[in-house]
Amino acid sequence: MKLIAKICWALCLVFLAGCGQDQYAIERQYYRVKKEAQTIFKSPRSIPPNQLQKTVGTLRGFALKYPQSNLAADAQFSIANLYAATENYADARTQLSKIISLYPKLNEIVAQAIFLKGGTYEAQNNWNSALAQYQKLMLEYPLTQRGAGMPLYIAQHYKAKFQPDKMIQAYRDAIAFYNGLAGKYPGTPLALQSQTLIAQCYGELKEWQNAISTLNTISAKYKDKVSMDGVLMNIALIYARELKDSLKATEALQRLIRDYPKSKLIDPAKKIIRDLEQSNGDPKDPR
Amino acid sequence: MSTKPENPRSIIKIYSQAIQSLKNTPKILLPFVIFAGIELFALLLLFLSPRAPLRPLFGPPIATIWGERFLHYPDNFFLLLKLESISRMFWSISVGSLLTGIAVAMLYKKPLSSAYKKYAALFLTVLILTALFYFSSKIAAVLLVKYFLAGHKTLIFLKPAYWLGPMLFGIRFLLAILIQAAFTYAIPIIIATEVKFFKAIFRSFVFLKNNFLATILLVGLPMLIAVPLLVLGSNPFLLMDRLFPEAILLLAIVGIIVNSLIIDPLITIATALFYFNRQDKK
Repeated sequence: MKLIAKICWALCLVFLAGCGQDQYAIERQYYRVKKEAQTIFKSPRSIPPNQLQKTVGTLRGFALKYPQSNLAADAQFSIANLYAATENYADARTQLSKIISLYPKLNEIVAQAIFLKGGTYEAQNNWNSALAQYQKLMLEYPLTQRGAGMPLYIAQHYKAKFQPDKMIQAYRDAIAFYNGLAGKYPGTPLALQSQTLIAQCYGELKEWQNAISTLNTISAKYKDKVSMDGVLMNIALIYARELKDSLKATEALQRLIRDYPKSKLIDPAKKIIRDLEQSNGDPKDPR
Repeated sequence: MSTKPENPRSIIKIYSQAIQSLKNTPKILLPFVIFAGIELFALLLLFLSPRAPLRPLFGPPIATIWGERFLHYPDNFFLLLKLESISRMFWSISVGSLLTGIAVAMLYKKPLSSAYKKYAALFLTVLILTALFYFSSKIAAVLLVKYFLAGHKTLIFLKPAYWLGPMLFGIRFLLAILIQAAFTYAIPIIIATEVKFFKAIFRSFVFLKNNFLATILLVGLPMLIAVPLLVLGSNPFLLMDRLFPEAILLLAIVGIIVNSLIIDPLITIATALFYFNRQDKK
């Protein structure tokens, strides 16, 4: 009898574990709420008229019920995304402004909201208003993921729209922006990311020597902190494909193989060296 | 000892005998019921592991081995079947071995102490059987992956998607039947005789060799019942998307009931009776 009583108590305690209103229970509730939103995202143009308001109401109710939960912000964004998916762009921007006012001190959330605001303007083909948002994001939140990526995003927009002059200027602006970040926060992961993006910008501008110079700077500054096998591979590929300098490409790859013997890039590096030797004929050819 | 393959009627006769034994002595089912209860309780703990008060205990190892995401809804269900499988392996080796020995002792009308005293041998038998199946399945998967990563486009005219999907499933299933068949007589031999562990394993292999087809049928036919459940469990994402995440838990519960209360008793009792009958004829 005592054993049975103990087993019953143990079962009761375990069952009670499933009854609490903990983070898991909130996640479960949110999953159901989001499932409702998914049906709208799947076919935003063929939803019944009340469906959107009903789902927005459910999401809003969830966010009000659990304001401290990290899922509350996600719910607010889902509302904005629902409005955007159903082309209610003005309502989407209103919602995003509300998010900014609700989370003024959470820079990543604010940055995301400003970015999405720009996105709604872009969806309406209003690039000037979108650009205003993106520039605001760059200036006020440069240390956020979104803010740091904005210069490239703007340049890539012009590239997609076949506006070469604006694209080139945007890449130059991006290089200046990232140089500023790298100078302000030297030796940090942000500086490394900035310099990597500078190299990428030079690549887009086809200024290969500048790209290689930047990659060499990264390699020299950060080789003790992070693996530079990827950087060396990029240098080698630029020499091989863009500058047609097999010798320097091979040098970079040999340095990769020597300095990073356990790298996953060893096999591809060896294959590229073989291909370069075959295309040159003589590996000792000074050309 | 006969080397002729058993005809289907004999197999049906053995299953009838097994069911009759259960009707005459229903307490033979008790060890399997206890094992199913242990499995269900373990499953309940695993299901509730992302929640207080179990999270501080289960959370760190789950987060370390598989990742933090599996402590959140609904991703915890992706891991649930895997955890249940690991749990079943653990309980089969530690407790299931003894409970199976007890069931065979009841069937052979031997005292239960004959199982308790031989726990070490029973434990080792199930440990080796489980380890053999686990590692052979892994090796099969690794070999296939390495073969296709080496650049081969097909294997016996079939593409990688077939080999790493339904064919691998079939290979694992066949391995399960073969390995189970090889060791299935070890426990009846350990309970019924006084031979040592290694000799019991050897005799099990010899008995399988002499009664290969019958053993494969006795072991394989009940295991076919599990195939639909295994197929459903192979793609939990589809199940969750089409139904709801808790469908995974229901699948796990049904799996425990089918495996522990239908398949295991059928295989254990049928093979034990088959061995007993053969020994009687000698």
